[in-house]
This record gives sequence, structure tokens and C-alpha cells, in this order.
Amino acid sequence: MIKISKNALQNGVFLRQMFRKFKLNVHKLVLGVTLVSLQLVPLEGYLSRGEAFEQSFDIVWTTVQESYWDSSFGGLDWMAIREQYRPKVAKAKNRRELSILLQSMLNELELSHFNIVSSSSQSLDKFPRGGYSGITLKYVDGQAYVVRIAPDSAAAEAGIAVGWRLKSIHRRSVKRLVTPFRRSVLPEKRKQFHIDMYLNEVIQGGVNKRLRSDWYPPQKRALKTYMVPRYDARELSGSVGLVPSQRIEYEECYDENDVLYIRFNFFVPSLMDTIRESIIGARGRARGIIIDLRSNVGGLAIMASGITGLLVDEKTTLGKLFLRNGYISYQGYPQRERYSGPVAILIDSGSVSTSEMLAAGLQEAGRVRVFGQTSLGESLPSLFKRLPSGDLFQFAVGDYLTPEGFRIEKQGVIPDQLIAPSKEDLEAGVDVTLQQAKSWILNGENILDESA
Amino acid sequence: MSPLRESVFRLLLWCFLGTQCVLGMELPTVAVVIDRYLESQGGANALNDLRSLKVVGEITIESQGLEFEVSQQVVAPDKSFTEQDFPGLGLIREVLNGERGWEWHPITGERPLEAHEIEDKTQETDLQRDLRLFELYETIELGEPEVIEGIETTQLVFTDFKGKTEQWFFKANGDLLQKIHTVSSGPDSVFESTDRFYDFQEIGRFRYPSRIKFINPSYVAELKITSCDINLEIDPAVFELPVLILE
Repeated sequence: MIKISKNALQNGVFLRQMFRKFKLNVHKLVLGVTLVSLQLVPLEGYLSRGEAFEQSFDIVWTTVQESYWDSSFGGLDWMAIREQYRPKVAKAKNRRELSILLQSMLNELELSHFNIVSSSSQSLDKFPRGGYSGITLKYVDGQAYVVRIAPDSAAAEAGIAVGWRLKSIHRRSVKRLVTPFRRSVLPEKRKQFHIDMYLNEVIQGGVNKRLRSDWYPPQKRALKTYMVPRYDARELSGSVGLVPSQRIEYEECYDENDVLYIRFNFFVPSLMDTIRESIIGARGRARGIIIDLRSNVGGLAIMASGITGLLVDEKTTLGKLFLRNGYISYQGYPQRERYSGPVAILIDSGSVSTSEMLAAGLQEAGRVRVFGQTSLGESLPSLFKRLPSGDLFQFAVGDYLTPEGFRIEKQGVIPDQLIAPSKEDLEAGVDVTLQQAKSWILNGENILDESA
Repeated sequence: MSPLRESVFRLLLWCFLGTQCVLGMELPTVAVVIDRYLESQGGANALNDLRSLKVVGEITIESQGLEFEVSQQVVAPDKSFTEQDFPGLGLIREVLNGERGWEWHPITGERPLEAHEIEDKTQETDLQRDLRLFELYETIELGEPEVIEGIETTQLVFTDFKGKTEQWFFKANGDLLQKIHTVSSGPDSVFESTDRFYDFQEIGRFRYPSRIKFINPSYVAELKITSCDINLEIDPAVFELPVLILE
């Protein structure tokens, strides 16, 4: 036996051919890590001008130049864009102005996942964070409604109920809270999405910090409430690379008709065992499964493959990621223990990235029926770079197409059954989308009943 | 052939056949480049003696804040066990038992490998592959020389029987492999990669790169090998497929 001592390395011949398949696996995982939309906050931090600004600009421009999957830039003259924006760097007085400039340049691409992401220290406000009140808000037509209250949460204890309309948080009105987004350089379509994310972040409050919120209960006078959000480490995901830890929600329940309802807000690895257990547990018990991906911001793309494997009888392709040179497919491989009954997926304009990949892939495969609103249409795999200015630069490196070649970006996933909740529905606390999905499962209108 | 006679033979080969004149520049022939390449790794005899290896390395993808361990155990000609500990996911395992392959993934579960994956894995276990380059490729031709990070290199273009090409770049005078550019393709992917080899060191008869960068248009992953055992007795149990897959 030849033994090469500690720190010794392998002969080149082996290294050349080894890890051949491993490289592809890594590629699939790395690109799939960041099928997620992070909270964007217009920057308020101030740094001195200087080389950091110019370097930041050059990194952003060059990165796009080198990694954008379509070398023709979809007809956009990327060199001309540089000439247009580069002279403006010297005029940026602070980081906020630089950020706006860079974001404006990226907006020329008219695609998602090209973002300048501020660090948390440059938030829009000084409101406490890190707690969990248990409230989920939905911003519709300039108003924010409570659509969900977690059981046993601080909000439930405070008596806040589904259907209430938010007046203010910490005495700051909803209108004022969302103004920076309204005025931001974000594309119009993304504003509402990020308003939703922002309001839902602020309403969680700080750990053990009293949170005042004012509400309009339906047909009642305005009401002020106080609650003390808590902290629970179990509600936080681990970070994966530069993707920070996220607050995760998971809900699973059976209704009186044995329909299993599963909802989660983020595709994080730590949830996979729980999801698997829920789906496998439905075998022989549930008349159908409803997977609620509304306001789900995406996450690890390979989780869509994992969930698919629990629902299909044969290898199922969810779509292809087209890169600068080549492509990668994501598949679900049928697992020995899998659920064969009817499955409904719920989506809305807050369903993004991996949510869209899962919904679209299974929809095209004919395995699920999709209910709700057209999804946001942001499904590009992206990576991150830290800029000398201190901000994170998120950049897409590929385009996602469904197996039939449908492009999700900009268009979104179109539900089989389009349902737009009205203000009246929201105020009444009626989830019409969920109701219709249940009805589909129970009325036997689906073609999957026999396998249940 | 004795080692001395073999050395003399190689010297003569290089002197008389080892160069060709292209546009006034003297370039070695393909055969000589490959011969030097094999020699730079310890020679054909050393390669023929290889039966197994166990490699442990660390992958860093700095731009994405990712760092994790990977290991591979191989028994020629057709058994391998690969394990990677991807951050936040846990251990991903792949096994090839000489006939069948299997993957266990914390997210996607377990599954048998498909035929094209088994083919890829089998290539990884062929430790004598470099001794049969002329059999494995339909053509091997000299390409344009290239200067890579200040190092003059000789390029060989390998074309397999399916028409796929790979470009290998050898240090012009030392024949150490500096870079390989490949486009791998299968039913589920087409994947371009440039592998760059750095920091060659010597141990015994072997010369090897201490760092490898896997470069693609999206990011760079760097592999550092932390340990390597050759011709080690590897427990056959690691290559056993789970009962569920065998069913």
C-alpha cells in the first residue's frame, strides 16, 4: 500500500477524472440555493464617496456582463448601459444614491433577482425586529388585512382576528410605512410584493418588546392593541451560504373531511423532514392534500424536487435552468413511500421562485390542480456578491423554463382556477381559494380520486 | 523493458520524433505530450499499480459563503462511494457497486442512479484511464498554444466517438496538466466547466496539484485535498446497495 501522508494530495490523473458527477451535483445545489426573493429595503446608510463606489459599479456591471445567460442580453446594449451609468457614479453623494443608481441600471434588464440588497443595519425604520407575533398580513388595494393568526401566538392572545384591517404599527400609518416602496425604483410589479414582505416583517415586532398596533375590525371602530412578541429559535431556519436565516412557518392540519392542509413560507432544508412526514402520513388517511404556497418566497430549489418525489409515480421534470453555457434540469424521483391522491396547490401574487417552479412543474405534469392568483413571475436562479460599498448584490445567472418551455419570469404561473379574493372576503375572513380547492377535492371533480 | 532502457528509449523518441515544425515554431507531437504527461505523474508502471484510493477534500465557494467537505473512495475498475456534506443539508451519498448505482439525498430521498449516471461514475473509477487515451478518443490533436496566468502551455484537443471535445492544457516544458475545459452533457444537463490545477508538489513518484479550481460562468469552486490514501484496503461494505434499491 502506498500511503501519502497528511496534507498530501492526489495525483493529477485522479483529480482530473474524479468528482466528475459531483461537480454537477454541486452546481445544481449552488444555483438552487438562491431561488428566493429577499426583502429589499431602500437604503439609508451613508458612506463617503470614493473608490468603493466605482469598484462597486464595476463589479455589478462586469458580473452581469460575464454571467448573464443570454450573451445578446435580450437585445439590450449592455456596453451602452455602462456608458450611460458609469459617469453618474461620481455624482452619487452617499450609499443610498449609489444603490439607487446601481438598481436603476439593473432595472434596465427588466428581470427579477438583479438587486442591490441592503444589510439589515440600513433598515427603513428603527422598529424592533426578531420577534414573532403570529400575524400574516395581505396588502390589497392600499390596505393591509389580517389573513392568518397563528394559534397560541401573541396576536391570538391579544384578540387580533382574521379580517381586521391594519391602521398603524407603532403609530405609523400603513400609508406612511409603505411610502418608501411606492417611491422606490423597484419595478411596479414588485412593489406590492415587497410591501407585503415589509409589513409582515414589522408586524412581528421585537422579542419581548411591547408592540402597539391599531386596527379596524370589520364594522367596528378603530381599536388599539398591545402585544409582546416572543422568540422561538425553532422558528428560524439555518443560513445556507450567504442566504441568511429566515423565520419559518409550518402549518399542518386535517379538516373534518380528512383533507390535509399544509402551508409553509420558505423552502428551507430544515423543513424537509416535516413535509415528508406530513405527506407520507397522508397515505391511506387524507382524501386529498392542499399545499398552500401563497406568500411563499421560495428557497432551496432542490426542495421542489424532494416534494415532487413524494407525489409522483415516475420521474418528473420540473423544468430547466438555462445558463450561459448549458442547462440543468430539476427532477423529482418517485419515492417508495408516496402519496397518490388528489393534490391542490394554492398560489398568489406573493408566490415566488421555488414556489413557482413546484406549482408549474406539477401542473404541467398533470399531477396537481393550481388555485388562486397568478404568481409573481420571479423564478431566476441567482447568486450573491458582497460589494465594496457594503451591500449585497444579487444577480440571476439563468432562466427557468417549464418542461413545455413556458417562461415563468415576468409571466408567473397561471392557476387552473383563477380566484381573486375581494375586500369583502378578506374582511369576512373567508378564504375562497382554500374553499374552492377543498371543494374540488371533495366533489370528486378531479381525475386523481381513484388513486387516493 | 528495464527502467534504464525505457528512459533511453524515451530520450531518443523525444530527440528524433518529439517535435514537429509548425509555422517556424517547434511543437511536440501529440504522442510525446501524452507520454510526458504520463511520465509527469509517475509513469505507466505506477499508474498500472493503482487499485484503490481514498480522497478527502474541502470545497470552498467563497463568493457564496459555502464551505464543505467531500470524500471519495474508489476501487478500480467500477466501485465508488462519494459523500459530500453540503451546508444546511447534511450528507449526500452516491454509491456504485460495479453494476448498479444509488444516491441518498437528505432532500430528494433515495433513488437508483440512471444509466448515464452510472456511466459517469464508472469513468471516475477507471484509474488506468489515462493509459488508454488513444483508445478512448477518436482523435487527439494539437491545439493552439495558450499562456495561462503567465505559464506557456501546449494544448491538446480530445474528441470522443460521440463528437464531444475536451481541451487539455499542459505546461509547455514540464507537461504538468494546467487546465481542462470540458462540456459535459447528458439527458438532464449540459454543463461547461474549466478545471484549473495549481501548486504542484511531489511525494515519492507522484506529482500532484494541491489545489483545483472548478470555474464556470457563475462562480468558482476551489477544492483542496486534505488527505489521500492509495491502494488502501477499502471496506467492501461501503459499496453495498441498500435493500430497498435492490428490490
